[in-house]
Amino acid sequence: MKLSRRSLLQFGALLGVTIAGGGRSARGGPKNILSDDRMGVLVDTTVCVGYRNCEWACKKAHDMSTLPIETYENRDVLGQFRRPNLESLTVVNEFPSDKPIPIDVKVQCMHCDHPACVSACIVGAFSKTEKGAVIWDSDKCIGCRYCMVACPFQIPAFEYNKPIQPRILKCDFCVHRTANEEKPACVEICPVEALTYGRRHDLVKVARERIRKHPARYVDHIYGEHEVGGTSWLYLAGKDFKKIGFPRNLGNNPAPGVSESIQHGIFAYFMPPALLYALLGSIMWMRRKINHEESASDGKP
Amino acid sequence: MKISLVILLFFPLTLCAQHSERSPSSGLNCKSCHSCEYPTVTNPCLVDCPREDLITIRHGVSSGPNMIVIDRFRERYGPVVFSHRLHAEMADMGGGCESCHHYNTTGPVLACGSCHEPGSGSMELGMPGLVAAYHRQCMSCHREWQHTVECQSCHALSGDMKMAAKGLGELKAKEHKRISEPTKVVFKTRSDKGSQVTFYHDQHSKLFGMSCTMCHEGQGCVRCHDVKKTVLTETPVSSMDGRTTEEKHKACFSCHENDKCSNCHSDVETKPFNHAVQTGWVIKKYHSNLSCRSCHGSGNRFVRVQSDCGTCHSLEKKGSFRHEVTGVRLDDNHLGFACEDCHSGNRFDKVPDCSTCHDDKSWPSDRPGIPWP
Repeated sequence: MKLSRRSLLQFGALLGVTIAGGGRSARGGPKNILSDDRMGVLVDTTVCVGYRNCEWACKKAHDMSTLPIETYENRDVLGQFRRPNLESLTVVNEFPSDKPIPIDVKVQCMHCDHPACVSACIVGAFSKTEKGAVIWDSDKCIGCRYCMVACPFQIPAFEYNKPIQPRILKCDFCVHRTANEEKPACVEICPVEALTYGRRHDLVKVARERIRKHPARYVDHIYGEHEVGGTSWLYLAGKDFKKIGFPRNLGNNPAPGVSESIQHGIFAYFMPPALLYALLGSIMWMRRKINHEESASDGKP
Repeated sequence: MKISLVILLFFPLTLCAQHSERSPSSGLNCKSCHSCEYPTVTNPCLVDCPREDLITIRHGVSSGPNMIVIDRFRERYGPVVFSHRLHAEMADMGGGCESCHHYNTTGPVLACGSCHEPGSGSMELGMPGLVAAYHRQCMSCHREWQHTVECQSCHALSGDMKMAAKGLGELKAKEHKRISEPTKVVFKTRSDKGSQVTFYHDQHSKLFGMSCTMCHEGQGCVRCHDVKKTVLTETPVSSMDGRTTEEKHKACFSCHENDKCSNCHSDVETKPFNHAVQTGWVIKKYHSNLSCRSCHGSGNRFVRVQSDCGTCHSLEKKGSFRHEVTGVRLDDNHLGFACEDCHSGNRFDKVPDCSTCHDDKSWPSDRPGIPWP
């Protein structure tokens, strides 16, 4: 059988796809234990009233200093956009709405299913637990702050003010509470139950049902269901998520997917050294050929 | 073993015998809730609950309770005094009882606590507990018009029983801000019959005695009663785009259906309604104190009245008509006569005829009494 040019190209393309497909297996971050029973929280921003009791409860649960709960009734702080920081691992931001009441959005670690911080951490301090929480080990942490750069939601905070043994801080999904079958502190205190704690799979169903029942109330999107490969915290809203402080254009692929697929892909096939030697070899060969031709032409009378 | 087999075999048969299309207690069709022919305790084969279709609260405002004191969580907060009837009256102008008692199926009206479990959280994922149910229900409106989420606007802190004692007196302070209604609203239209419609709002509400809900039906309280709102915003002309002629004119057509376009549409601002100008009949003295409805009927559309006074006054008994309102107080000699004796043919717009009885007297030089007042 004679191999035509066309079939040769087809074979080449097929080979390329196979190799690329093989590379895809490296995508999706580290091998997390993604249990079907992993927990999550559904945040309904149409219910949240911006009480900020969650901020207070979070600090209490993590032994952080806080003013009395009554002071949290002051809504002036909602006037400016805030991020979770050293003082508060969760904050509530307020956004204007087309309706008479503004939209309040609680912000904290999303607890990604394929966390970029876990992938970026060079000492393996970060890990994703079976129950869904993304936690870290302060003893292992060397303070490189790669996790802060890697996080697509800009969540981890760093104790810049502490010269000796500074720590990374972020929401830990109240692992010390959930281990004792307690709800996360913020979920428990919310007076309007804007936060629902449950199995992530069930929460997606609940969220879908709410959108189906009240199509005018919600935009048809569960933020976190697919974003960066899925997150444990899910959000419902009545307004485009881009307009209420959520990062734009994150895509649905896991955040560490690209970097890891490049790294794992390249090193898996021992490509860089081979390519490097091939390049050097071809340069040498070219130079030799040119030299040979030059010396041949010089030899002519 | 044998017995259980017998039961297993005959149980469906006994069900068959009892089978009827409707539940004897609720009168509901079984198929509204169960998908299979023979639901059992172990397999009730429930369909997605059609709760929205089953809502059956249809009763008057007064049949509900007046005041409700919510004190189930007294260890943290003092009781919340909830003026149920006041809120029911407000709801009656909008969505009715269902606006709070959502998903109330057949039978008595259920309190919040009948479905929502006490405390926070619930067995059913995503269904709010009682605390959250109260908060959501109250705050969805209070946030809209009050613009605050202060706990103390409803809760007295535990130990402070003043609020419960004061009851309604205290609640008065929380009532909705009264709004000053606009005198007139000039609607800009894209009609070729006249680009402006001058609507005299205060005349319609005060003079013509229309209730707010005749036009502002189902619009929600906050449209007008907002602590931040001092002036009502105008409806932009673009908001009417894409609506049919009927939809655009719905509010006006309930009364003005048969009127000419020019009655409302004009290229310039029109003057308010004036009885003398529009109808040719000057209202003075006694008639100016009357409401429109006392002459023009109780229907949406005012009924045209004949200029003949007998239309209203024909049933007047002798002596019962206070003649002085016309400007002449009758003397005792004339008080007993029938109206027709002087006003022949009950034509009150004509000069009274003295010649029926008197040869030497005539109106207006000889009045049958004294000028009044």
